Amino acid sequence: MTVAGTPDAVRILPVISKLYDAAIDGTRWPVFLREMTIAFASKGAQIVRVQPRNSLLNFSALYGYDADIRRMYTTDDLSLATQRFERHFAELMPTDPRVRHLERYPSRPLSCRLEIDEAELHGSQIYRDMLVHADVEYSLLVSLAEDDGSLIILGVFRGKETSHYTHDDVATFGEIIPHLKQSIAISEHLAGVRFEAGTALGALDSVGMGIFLVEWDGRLIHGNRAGLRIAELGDGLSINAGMVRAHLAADDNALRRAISDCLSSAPRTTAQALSIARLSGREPIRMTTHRLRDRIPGAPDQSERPVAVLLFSLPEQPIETRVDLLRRLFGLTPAEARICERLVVGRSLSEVAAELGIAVDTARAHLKKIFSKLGVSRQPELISKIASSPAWLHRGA
Amino acid sequence: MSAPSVPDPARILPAIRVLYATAIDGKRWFEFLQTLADAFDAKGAQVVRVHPRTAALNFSALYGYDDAILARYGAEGGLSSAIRRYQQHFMQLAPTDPRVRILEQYPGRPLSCRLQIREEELHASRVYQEMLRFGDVEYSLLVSLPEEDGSLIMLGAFRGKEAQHFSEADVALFSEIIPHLKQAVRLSEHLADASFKAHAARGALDTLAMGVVLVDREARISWANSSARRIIERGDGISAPDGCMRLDTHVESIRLRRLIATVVDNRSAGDAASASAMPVARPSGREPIDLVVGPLQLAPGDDRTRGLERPLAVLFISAPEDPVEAPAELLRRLFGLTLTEARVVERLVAGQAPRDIAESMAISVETCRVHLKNVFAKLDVDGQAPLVAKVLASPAWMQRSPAAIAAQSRTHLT
Repeated sequence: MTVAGTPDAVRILPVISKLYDAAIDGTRWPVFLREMTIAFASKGAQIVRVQPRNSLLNFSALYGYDADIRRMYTTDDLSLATQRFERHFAELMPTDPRVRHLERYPSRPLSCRLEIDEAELHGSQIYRDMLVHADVEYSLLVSLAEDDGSLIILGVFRGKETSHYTHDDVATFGEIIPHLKQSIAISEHLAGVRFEAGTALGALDSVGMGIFLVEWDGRLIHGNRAGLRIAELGDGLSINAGMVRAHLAADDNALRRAISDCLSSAPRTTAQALSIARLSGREPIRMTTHRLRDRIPGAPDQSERPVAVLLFSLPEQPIETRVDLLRRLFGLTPAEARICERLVVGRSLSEVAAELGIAVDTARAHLKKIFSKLGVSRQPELISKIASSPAWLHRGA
Repeated sequence: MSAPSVPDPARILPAIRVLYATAIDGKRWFEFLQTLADAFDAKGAQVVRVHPRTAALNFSALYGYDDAILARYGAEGGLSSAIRRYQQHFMQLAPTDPRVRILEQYPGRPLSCRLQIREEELHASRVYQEMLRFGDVEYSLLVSLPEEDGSLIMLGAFRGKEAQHFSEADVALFSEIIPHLKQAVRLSEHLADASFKAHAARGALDTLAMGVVLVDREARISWANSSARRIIERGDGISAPDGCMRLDTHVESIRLRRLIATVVDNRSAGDAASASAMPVARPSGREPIDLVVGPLQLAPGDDRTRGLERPLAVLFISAPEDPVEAPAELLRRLFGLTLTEARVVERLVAGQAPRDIAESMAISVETCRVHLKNVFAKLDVDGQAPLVAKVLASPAWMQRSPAAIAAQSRTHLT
């Protein structure tokens, strides 16, 4: 038989607030549990999330029992004590009469003492081994199981000195359930979007060429590591108040024009190229601009937000390849790889021989072997092959 | 007049829940306004977001007045056109709206208009005469939330003449929604920003001629750019039948898995130290695919992603038979070459010898050499090899050629 209690919305408004805070910032689950503890005049609270498809989304948080679990699991190290508690709890769970009830009535809030008689609870192993030591006498719990096997469990707990949770408590607790589901959905959606953004931006960072994503007016949306490093030099190209700028007014105009041209022209002719003069008088920064092909979703109304890609590099920081990568990719000996590494940055064979302290004839003999290993017959071809292989990516930090 | 009804706090809980749902699904604003109107026994409700920096984040939604708007502004062009006409009209009248004046005076504070504005004043205003009375908007419960960057959120609920005005208790309950409104809008914009960046970054990687694949420690593909997808689809050496990177033989696949695991496990040592490489043999007997594995460092910043820092590796792959393209037009502009010089360089970079270049361009070998000499001078290099090195260090070849992109968008269309 179920008795309908009266929910008290005023009591849980602050709880709901903290619940959504926690959905957005996972470090705030304890704050939510504290608010639950206050709202339900309890000793503590717990939340557990089990997500079998993606174990990274699993979490559990416990509030109010730090001193108890430190004492019970004989360590001052709270995370170690919590670990021991969780292992102990997982072990005893099958014998827990509360769990049996939760499984029978998924999504229904449950005040244990209204469903389980005292003698049964006190006779259970979990009560004798665990609950009694932490003074968990009364529990108000809900278990939300989904079809995919994922699970949310939320509970508040009171000690012996107080009274059990009433039907009104159960009704009030029930008001939280739809919000609990919603907040978990939000937190997982957020985690997914952040993961996508983080990995895509991380991949851009691992490209050795400077890459800027800019809006139509030159505002920087994102710069990869190589690109930001070049801009930090402030030698010709820089970022000022969030805008990508070239130092010379003429270059700055050309840059702005190249961005707007590539964003406004037909896809077939989108690539633009320009050179940006340097203050140091060194060779100019060479840059191509390109329009992203697809419309970009992400705005609430899915409206188009055009994005231009700027690719650029410093001529004096040419392709750097790593000897070990060349060896692995092309099966070169260390001596052959050292020669290739230097040829690719534009040195002549005699310069390479001098640098390595070997005779030009020796270098030439190595080069012949390299040619045959890479299946090429001329130096420019060799460089083209190496420089267009991924060996030079990962320039390193 | 009967005593004002006391609002039930429990009735705003569904509105709050739907409010957060709008953060992940912008189509649910209408539903939110509906639940809000229900909670306050209102006839309708409205929300307006003004974001001056990013117009794409602006929106407005109105519930409860479709019929009134169609009646007042005509059915021509359907409801959305009528709403546009209404909005234009409202923008025009806003400066004369006594409610707007009060809202500007008390930013961030919820207001029941009839508690602040006398009936005669409202009834005499142009906005009431020309607009509100046609929609039977007699009583308004409003809040305006301006932010420092000039952006604004406005929320309102409205009752008609037959109902009572919004009481102090209504105002108090309405104020409970405000922090949630702010938080939900911030959340939706944070999500919009993150997915916008993710799409933009993926789009940028798609423009690269180099194949880029993100994989986890077990070589499961998390994402691949379009150049990589092309190589994988060919299935000549690299394939992904079940979303996992597979090489030609089982033994090779295991080698790759080990290589990835080593790189992922050593990632704390930094990019340069832990990158590794292997050539990938191909059943067709063609030259092996070049494959480099590096650790993926997640973009720093939001430490709330900590829980999700699943170690990933980034694979760079290129097939030697894919031409190295440095389009003449880009070369011309990047290095200040003539078109003929640029064509010579384009061919040299693609691996041709001067003899072949001369033949394909129908010029003499001597002329070709003269062009090359001029190019050497312009680029300040002293030979063909350093010339190729310089061109390939520029971004000229990094992007996929417009032709390849056009070919791909054609296949997207079919």
